[in-house]
Amino acid sequence: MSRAGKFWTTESRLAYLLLIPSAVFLIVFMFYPIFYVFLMSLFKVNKLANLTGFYGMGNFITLFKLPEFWQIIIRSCIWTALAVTAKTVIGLIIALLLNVDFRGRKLARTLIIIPWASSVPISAMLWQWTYNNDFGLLNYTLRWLGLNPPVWLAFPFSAFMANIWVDIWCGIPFMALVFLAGLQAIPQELYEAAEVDGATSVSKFRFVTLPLLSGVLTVATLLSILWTFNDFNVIYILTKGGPANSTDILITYIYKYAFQYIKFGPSAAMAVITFAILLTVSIIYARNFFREGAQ
Amino acid sequence: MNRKTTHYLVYPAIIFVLLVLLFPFFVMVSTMLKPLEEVYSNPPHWIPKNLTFTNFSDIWSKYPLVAYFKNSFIVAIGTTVFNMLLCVPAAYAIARLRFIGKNFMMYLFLVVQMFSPIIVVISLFKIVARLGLLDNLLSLVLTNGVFTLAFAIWLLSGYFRGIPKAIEEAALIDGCSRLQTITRILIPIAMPGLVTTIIYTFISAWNEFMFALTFITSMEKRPLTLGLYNFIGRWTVQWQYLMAAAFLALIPVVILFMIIEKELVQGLAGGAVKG
Amino acid sequence: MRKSLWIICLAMFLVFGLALMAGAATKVRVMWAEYDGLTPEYAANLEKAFEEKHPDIDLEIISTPWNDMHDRLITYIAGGNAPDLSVIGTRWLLELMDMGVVEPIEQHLSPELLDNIDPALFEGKIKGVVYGLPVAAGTRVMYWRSDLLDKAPETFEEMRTMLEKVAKPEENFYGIALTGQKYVELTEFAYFLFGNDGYFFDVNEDGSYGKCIVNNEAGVSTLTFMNNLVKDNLTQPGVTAYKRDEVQNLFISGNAAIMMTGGFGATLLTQQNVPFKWDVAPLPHFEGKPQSSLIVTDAMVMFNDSKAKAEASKFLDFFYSDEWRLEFDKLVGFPPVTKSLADNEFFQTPVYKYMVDQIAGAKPWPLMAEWPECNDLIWDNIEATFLGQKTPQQAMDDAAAAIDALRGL
Repeated sequence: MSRAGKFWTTESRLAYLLLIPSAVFLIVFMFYPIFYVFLMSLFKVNKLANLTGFYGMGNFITLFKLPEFWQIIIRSCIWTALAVTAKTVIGLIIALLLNVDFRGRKLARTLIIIPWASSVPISAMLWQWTYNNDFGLLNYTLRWLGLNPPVWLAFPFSAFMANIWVDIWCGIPFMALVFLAGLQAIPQELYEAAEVDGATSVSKFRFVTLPLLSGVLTVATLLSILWTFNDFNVIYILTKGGPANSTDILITYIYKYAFQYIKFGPSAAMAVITFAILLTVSIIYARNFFREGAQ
Repeated sequence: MNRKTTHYLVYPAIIFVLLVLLFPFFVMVSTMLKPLEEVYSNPPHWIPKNLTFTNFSDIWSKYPLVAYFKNSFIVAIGTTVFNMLLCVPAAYAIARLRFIGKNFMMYLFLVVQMFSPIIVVISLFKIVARLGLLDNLLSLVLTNGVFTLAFAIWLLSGYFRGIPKAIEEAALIDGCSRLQTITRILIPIAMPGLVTTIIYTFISAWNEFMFALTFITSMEKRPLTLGLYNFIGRWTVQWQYLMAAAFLALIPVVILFMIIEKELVQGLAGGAVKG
Repeated sequence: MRKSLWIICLAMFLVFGLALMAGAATKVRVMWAEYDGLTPEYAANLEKAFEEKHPDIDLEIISTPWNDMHDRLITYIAGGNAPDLSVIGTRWLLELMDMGVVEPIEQHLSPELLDNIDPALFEGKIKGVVYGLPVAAGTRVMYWRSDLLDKAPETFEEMRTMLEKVAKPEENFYGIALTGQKYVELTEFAYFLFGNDGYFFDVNEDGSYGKCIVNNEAGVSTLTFMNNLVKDNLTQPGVTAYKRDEVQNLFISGNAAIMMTGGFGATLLTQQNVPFKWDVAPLPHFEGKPQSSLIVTDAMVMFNDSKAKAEASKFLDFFYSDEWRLEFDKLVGFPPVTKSLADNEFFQTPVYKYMVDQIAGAKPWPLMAEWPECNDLIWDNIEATFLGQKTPQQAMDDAAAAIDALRGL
């Protein structure tokens, strides 16, 4: 078949038709903003977000010279890795639990969604109230249990942990739900067949559940990585990146530069760096996904 | 491990998980039922000494909560409908059809996810203003739709992919049209995935704050997420009102989930797989 | 059939277009801040009453939560859609001037309006031209427990001695409730610094700012004093977690002997019917140094892109009338900015009195475009001292060096 012929098979014509509406909207609404971000990163940008002169790598060099810049990148990666792992593992465990047919399962499933049902800024405010040392019920309860909790948001390590927990907390229901839906699609017959072959629970999980769930697992964790890396609201509301910059990640820095210092050039450069990091991760990650798709 | 043991392990595990996950929710409930004098007691206490519902009546009378709810519904439902209309065909194309540029499309959708709303908000603001959609809920439907679209396509195509093609191919051989295989076979089996995508879209739109803050200017058009910020001031946060309002904001989402949840339970219809 | 459909569409379009043009009143958009205490009805009533008086003007009040005010304004301006008027924290004025978007508002104001404003409040007067019309202004005051302390301390040293006697951290009763978390403003460092005759920058003859001087003797001894308060358990533990509202709540719940904040504290204390006796006093100062509080003003600015400057000015005349200003001032807890209301009996309580008395000796935030970044640099270094990561001298040296580098000095 000629190349033109291969391009325009009925199948591909249908595919493009189905995809065009989505692509159009994405291009109209996202293409210009994203393109402009790339432009801003390479130009000098005035306070009105207008380009005033080609700057080449100037914005990037300004960033690399910042003493805390590398720390922030590393911290962003640690933040993402820790949070996504926790969300995935906990979400999977909960999905497995909720997959078992027990009485009250419907109620449990409905309750699980609550952390996700409230918006992230409000959840962050709720946790701020809970973490409060004087009026918050967390430390009160922990002390009642005989423990000696720190003033969570006061110190670098405890503040970082406190922030990460909120991000994890907000993300668990989504993961649990996504995995639960995936588990539902696994035919019961496969488990029964495995049992007949003498498989234990663990090997059933390894050889039936995991493989069939891998597509969903890959997509969910990949998207969670993108989402978590850019999770702005939790840190901004709880600690604003403090104390003493110990909880700043790239996205809070981007925000500071854009809206507080009104330096759109470096802010855009940081967005481009974020993009580069996330794209690299995605390519490595998604290769698994595409390889499977070729089945 | 037999069934019984599994059951005995599941109950305490679930209860532990729920206690930990719902801890702040209990805090929310405790705070919203307290009168102002009890909110700032040090040390705090869980059970209100003077249980009161005045926080609810106060916020209801002082602020146009009904309008906020209505606006949130319009945005959330609008976004979900918009999203589903676009994402189901797109996910089908990616999961089932062969065409050149498939990987490129997938990456394109993914790239959109790598930019947080913060980064693009100023440019999006220019676009929305140019379209004359400032202070119009449609602007939120479109921007939320676009931001959730990429995610939804990836998610849904992942679910579609997980379903063996054999069933649809059998149906095609039996004489079904492609559309019939989609509506009668693929979608029912993929219902759990579809439901998940719907919930994801609804919740994302229901809870979205940044675009609402930027594009909506009049009080009457504010969705709930903005309305809740009435209680967060420069000098003080009115926690009892904030908690009461946040609680109310949760309810529609939970109800939606309860209605839709049974679709989640459906596994592969036994009959479809055999043969 | 098709043809009639087109005709109908065209007709609808024409009617629609005509309707749009017919109702074409001049539009005035005001970005309005949601002050604590200000009810939503206030803005709604203001809008309605104004439009009734001026039927040819379409007023749109864009109500914004205070904490998002700055960012929303930046988005609007950068997005090419600036309002006609906006309430701003005066400290943002230089930033906005740097962007080249603000108008010398005094050209558009009626002389009666300008004359009616207390001249001491014109923080928004740059090089003799008024860019910001004061909307709200107040100095910070000290709240103290009159049932536990014999008198209000006049000096910080005296305050320390008194706190040493009453602080009982084991019983959750703290001496002074202090903020330590990076927040919008550099309080309380400013309270202590100003009371030590210190400031952030050298001020030149022409009013411009020289080098950063937080690392001079006044700055470092101030920070050392604050650190000692924390180290000696005269404050609540975990200072770096506390924002301003949390500090206020600590005092309101009866767990602190002293707090320093704005006038709204009194409103909160009264609202919550606290069971203990409290009183207000001017901010203390260090021995041998002059008393100096922090004055913070909010201003109304006009944007030079505005196509309705005359109409916007009419709105300001309307808003600054006694009737509307009185209600505004009563609700938000700031003393009046207009001379005509200064003697109103509502404002003769001690809280207002001290806020007004301190105006003469008070210092404002530095008015410079780079202030937000400088603010952050100083705050981060102060937090580092509270965390024991740096000594006060090191911290302030680092801050000053970074700030001078930033400003190219």
